[in-house]
Amino acid sequence: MNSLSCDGVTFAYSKEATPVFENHSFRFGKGINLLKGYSGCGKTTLLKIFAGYLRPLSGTVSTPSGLRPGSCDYQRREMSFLFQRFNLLPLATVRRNLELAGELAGMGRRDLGDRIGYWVDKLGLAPVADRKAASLSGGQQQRAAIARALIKDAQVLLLDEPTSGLDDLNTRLIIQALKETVRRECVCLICTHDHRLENLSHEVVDFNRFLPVERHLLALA
Amino acid sequence: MKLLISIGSYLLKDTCWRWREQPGSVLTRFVVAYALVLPSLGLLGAFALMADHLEARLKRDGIDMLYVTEQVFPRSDDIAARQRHALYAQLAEHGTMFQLLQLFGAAKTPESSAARVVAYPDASIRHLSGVIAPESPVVFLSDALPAGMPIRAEVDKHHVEARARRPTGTLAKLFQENVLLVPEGMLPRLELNGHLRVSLLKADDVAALRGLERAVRLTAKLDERSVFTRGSTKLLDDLERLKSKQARWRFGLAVAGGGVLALVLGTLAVLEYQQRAYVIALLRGFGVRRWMVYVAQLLENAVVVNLAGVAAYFTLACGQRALYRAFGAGAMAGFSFERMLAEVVVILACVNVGVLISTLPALRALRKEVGTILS
Repeated sequence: MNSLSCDGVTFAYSKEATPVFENHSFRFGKGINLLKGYSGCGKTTLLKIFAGYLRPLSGTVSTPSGLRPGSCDYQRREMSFLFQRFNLLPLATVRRNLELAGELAGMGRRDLGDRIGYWVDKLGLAPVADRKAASLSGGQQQRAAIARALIKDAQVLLLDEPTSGLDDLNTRLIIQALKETVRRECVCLICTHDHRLENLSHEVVDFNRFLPVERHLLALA
Repeated sequence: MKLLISIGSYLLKDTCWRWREQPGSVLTRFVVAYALVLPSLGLLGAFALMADHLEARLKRDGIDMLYVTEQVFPRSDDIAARQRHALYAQLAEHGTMFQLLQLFGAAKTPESSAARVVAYPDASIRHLSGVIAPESPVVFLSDALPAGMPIRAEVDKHHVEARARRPTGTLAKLFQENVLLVPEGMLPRLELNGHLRVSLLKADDVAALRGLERAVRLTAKLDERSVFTRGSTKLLDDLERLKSKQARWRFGLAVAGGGVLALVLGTLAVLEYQQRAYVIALLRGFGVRRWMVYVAQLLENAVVVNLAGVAAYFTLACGQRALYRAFGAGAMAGFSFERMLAEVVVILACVNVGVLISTLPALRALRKEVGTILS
């Protein structure tokens, strides 16, 4: 089993709310999979379901290793998640943020040190590596969050809007990093509206095919 | 292990940061715990001190002694018939007894002021063997005079030669002032003027003591005599009542303290959890288990509350020591740690149960899914 998939998934944020998905199935293979769609169509929700951060009301989710998405081992070792709002630990330095993710993944001290050094250099974070996350600019925080997601050899890489609001230079840095990462065998899901990432993907999934666009948005457009 | 240390160090740093940035939260918890523990410990400590005081009195008076005092009037049959020894003879099998007659007169000596005059019957000689001897049947009991010193005293226009002795044992408990101890019959005129008969009954055990006291009262009632008894039974009853009250208060205060603390800390924990939800969710997103976050919160509250408890104890101990010193009772033990250990342990145990209960709402909040908190 080398793919990330869900089968017959139904999800709603509360019992009273309209379901975001109703009996949907998705399957994503190795490589970069781009999820495109209008805002609010459920891309981030799907990513969170694959990360185990949300539990579907029904249906099954399968990971490449076969571990349950909600299990600690899966979240520590096999999956990396980039949040739209980065969500770095505000009191920890950039280096400590990376260390914590690596340590939780069970990486050895030397290996972790090498990898932190590598990604810090690669993403231009060396000057701010020892600064607290809360004191960084938006672009620096985004690169730090990408570095944190790439620090471990995750089999599943879930990136929510990795380049939103970034200039071309920063975006190029991130594209290079992603290209390098997917050379190894992993399932990478990227939610984005950014056209600059379209050439990067092996597969583009248009979410609007599955889910109806909100009518009021269409009317406004 | 490495993982635990790593997560623990971040959680610790996070806690220290919150304490520095939002001291109100930790101070509120500290003050609430302090304000609850201080009066509770104070009350329980007061009970402990009262119990100690009663126990000290029991030890001083002799836990198995009954003192019966009754007035014998000049014309009473008692004096005429000289039947005083037979009075409590039936009780002798329940303990030992000896009697003294405190005469209505005073002895004067050149060295000291007036002393009481007490006569002892022949039957009591064996109980006074440490004080009187065949060659010196008249003794002058005094704390101030050197033992063996010859004393010349004047009683009822008679001159009496006596030897000074230090009062010990029961005599020391009975008389706190100087006493001239003479054999019965030596001062007949004074004896016939009436006297106070002091009977000392020593029981075999506390149960026998209660029986003796009842018997003495019954005998006096039947003979229509008024007697005054002083024994440890009343003190023992007081001590028992005090101890049961102490147990009730200990339980009540501990439960009330723990309950109030659980409510207040629980409310604070919920509010604080809402503020910390982001960091906690993030750590959980990395695969940190719920129980680790929960334990961190539990430990934080436990540390704050126990520190407040210890601070309350020291405030009480120092305050009391200062008061004792101010009133010249510095030598008294007061709220020493050994004495208060049981009370401190009981109160802190309940307060910690309160802490445990207070984290239940946070435990419920921890069940919220990470994906609904982080975006």
